[in-house]
Amino acid sequence: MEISRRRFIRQAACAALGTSSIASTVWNLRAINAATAQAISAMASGPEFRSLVCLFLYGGNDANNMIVPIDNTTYGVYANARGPLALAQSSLLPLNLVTPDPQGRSFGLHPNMPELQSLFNTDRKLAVMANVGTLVEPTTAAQFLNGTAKLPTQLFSHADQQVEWQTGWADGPRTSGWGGRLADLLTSFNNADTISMSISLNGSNTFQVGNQVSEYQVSTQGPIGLSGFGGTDGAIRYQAVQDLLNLPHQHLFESEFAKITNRAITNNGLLTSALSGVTLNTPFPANSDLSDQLKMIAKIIAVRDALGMRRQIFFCSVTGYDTHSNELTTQNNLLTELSQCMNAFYQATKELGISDRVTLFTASDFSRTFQSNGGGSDHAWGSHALILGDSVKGGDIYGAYPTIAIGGPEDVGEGRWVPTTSVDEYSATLAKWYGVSSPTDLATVLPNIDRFSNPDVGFMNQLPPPT
Amino acid sequence: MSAPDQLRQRVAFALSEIMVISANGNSMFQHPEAMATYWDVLTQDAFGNFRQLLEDVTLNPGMGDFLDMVHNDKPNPKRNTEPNENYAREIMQLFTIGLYQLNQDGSQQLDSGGQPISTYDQDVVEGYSHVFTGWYWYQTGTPTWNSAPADYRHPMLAFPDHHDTGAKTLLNGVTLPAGQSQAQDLQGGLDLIFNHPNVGPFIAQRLIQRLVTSNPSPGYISRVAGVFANNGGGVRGDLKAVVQAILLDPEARNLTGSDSYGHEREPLIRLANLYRAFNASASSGKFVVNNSTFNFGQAALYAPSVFNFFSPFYSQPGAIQSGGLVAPEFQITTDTTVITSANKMRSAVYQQPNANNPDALVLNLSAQTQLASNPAALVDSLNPLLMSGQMSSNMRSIVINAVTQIPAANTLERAQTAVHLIVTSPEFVIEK
Repeated sequence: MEISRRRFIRQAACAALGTSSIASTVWNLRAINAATAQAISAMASGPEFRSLVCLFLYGGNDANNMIVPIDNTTYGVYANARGPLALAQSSLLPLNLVTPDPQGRSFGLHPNMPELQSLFNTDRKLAVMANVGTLVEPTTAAQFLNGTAKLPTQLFSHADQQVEWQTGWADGPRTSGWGGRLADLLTSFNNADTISMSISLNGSNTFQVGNQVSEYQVSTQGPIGLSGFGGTDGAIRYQAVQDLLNLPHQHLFESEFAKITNRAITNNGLLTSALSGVTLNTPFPANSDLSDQLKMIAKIIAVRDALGMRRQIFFCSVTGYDTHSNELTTQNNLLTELSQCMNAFYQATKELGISDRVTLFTASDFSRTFQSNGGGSDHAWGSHALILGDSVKGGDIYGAYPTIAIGGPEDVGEGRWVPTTSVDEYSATLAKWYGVSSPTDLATVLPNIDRFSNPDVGFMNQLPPPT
Repeated sequence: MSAPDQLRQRVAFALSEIMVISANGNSMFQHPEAMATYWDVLTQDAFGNFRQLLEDVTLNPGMGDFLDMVHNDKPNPKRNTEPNENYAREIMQLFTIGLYQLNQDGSQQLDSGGQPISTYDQDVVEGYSHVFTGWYWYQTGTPTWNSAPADYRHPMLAFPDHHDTGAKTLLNGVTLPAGQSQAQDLQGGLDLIFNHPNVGPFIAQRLIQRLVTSNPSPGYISRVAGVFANNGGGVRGDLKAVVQAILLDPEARNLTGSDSYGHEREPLIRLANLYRAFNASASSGKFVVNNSTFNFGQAALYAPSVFNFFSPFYSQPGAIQSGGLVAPEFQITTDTTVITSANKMRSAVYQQPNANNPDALVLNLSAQTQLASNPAALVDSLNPLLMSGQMSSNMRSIVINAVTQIPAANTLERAQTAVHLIVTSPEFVIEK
């Protein structure tokens, strides 16, 4: 019964749109009648819901001190090469790998991340993606050093590398992000008159820019409405404000500004109404903007039914990872916050009973030089990322953890590791879990994916596609 | 806000969004003197020579702290450390020349394969990171390289023992010879940047964007860059001449009739425009603007990073992007800030003197109140003051209609209503 109804919807959608190539992998539900819309709304809380949360660490997280080798031999090399940035061996939090490291190494987490250690070792819901970074094609350090590699545009530059992580297309145009292109494919899962499925808690970003779907930016305090229009005179002014916004604006910037303002007013109404019924008891860390962002994300996930949403993509971010100086203290604070906030968010999804349908992943400009500049480290390349949720095959390090050696096989200078997994492969693994399975659609989201060997790095338990 | 040299202040603010320093998320939050000293540099040099500005910014202790030139040490093989690359990279990428070789009109030069040509590579960044070694906090008495308290008031102090004296590969393949003094390296390194042909178009494009329009024509950029290269008296980098060229250019003076000319007034500038237009004052004599980041998405000298509040290349997805245009200020024009900034502008308009808050900034609307009995005259008086006389007739009708509905006896409220509706309107927000 259930299956046949879904098939009906799918066929109806295909017929209505005549876009069987999209509909073959993505079940377009826009062209549905009111009765069916109601049925789909009811499904939103069921197994069909999926949410991706991108947590961007702006500035370039020094992942070399987040995932650290702790076996005596490798740690000795680490300590020597890192110099003043080396963390004490005994302080590192051991990771118990499900699959042993092929080179026999063992690893620990930064000492201030006990919550994530527990999620990795005990819950097995946290995975590490090792040495992932921007690539145009598979590249070796030798190719980099002898100048034969095709390289991402402006390696080691913050703005460029942030954008390339977010476009998932290192040599492509920067006019859309992979989250935005993913949303373009899947937005029809949501009710047509709801807020955008791309929701940013920290302003504009490239990740969520789609060709059709535009991002909706909400503050950590939730939506905010126009205020100060009480009384008779207030009503007069409010009408005039609306009239001014709705004038036919010849000027492109004026009409865009009016459009954004009108959208904000509408979305504020929708989201305020939806959030009025939310309850969330999981404690979140105090005095952390990241914590506030993740808490609001959890709340918006909680009201997905009221919003009529079966697909959401969130963007949240934290700054300050550009640790050229005073790195040890700065990163102590940042990674404490990261570990506590990620854990709180995960616990909140457990409370909401949706932890297998929400996946949080980290991204950052780049990692940092293994060699120190005295008090910190400089811009580098391949980095380690974290993936968290009940759909994650946790407790393992995926990809290849680099050889710790200045001048070693992955070093292109001062301990800048050439990535052994591309951002494209990392992102494709997430996109596939999110519901993109045909090679055509995957290439729409990540246009260079065919250049790389591994469109599924393996850290996600891929959900069965809806039937 | 009330200083007589408003253009200098305005240009300094524009420069603060190019040569960015910020107290956001670092220890300078507790050192307002750091930001004040940097502001002094920008205001002093705003109409001076760019070469002087470049050196003053480079040796400013707040900048030293922000981009890690302070305590930047020569290589130390024992500790396996290399000089810090932060300032070396950003002075080129963000402050002066950018990533790609430019023509004088701001367009990118292309190689034979049609690809843009990089201005520098990692070796040049490392070269400059060595140039910028050996600087630390200003101190009196016998200076010490370690553990001196931060001095944000005086330029950084040279420590020759901590300066790398090796040869340094810099821009355009030029190598500074080994054995130069710290001062020689600094002068040589900064001269090379200053004389790079990119600086003129780079600075011209950014200052035009901040002051006039988001999408200047190539000709406009070229004319201003030409003045940067030579002020007419053979001087390169004369910022006074550059600012003059920007503001007096035909493209800035004459309405082009284009439906995309101009730029969004930055939210903080909108508030400054309001306070300036009506001589706002507080009984404390201060100009306190609280919660600026929350309300406007920006606060002076408080950007989230060295990349400023917005990128000069930001394009709003949709009609602006598909039109091939950029709109930098739209990067902070979010679903949140369009509302919070409108709310803040509204509360600023209606703010009354408050005995409990001596910092409350109150507009002087006496002239407008006197016109309140004639709504059309009231609105027409505000048109040149706030909108350079560009208010559309549709907009004028809406505002007059609203003011007319406010009881005639409430003269101040009528004046406030007119100002409120204008300063939150799309036509005001987009400066043309």
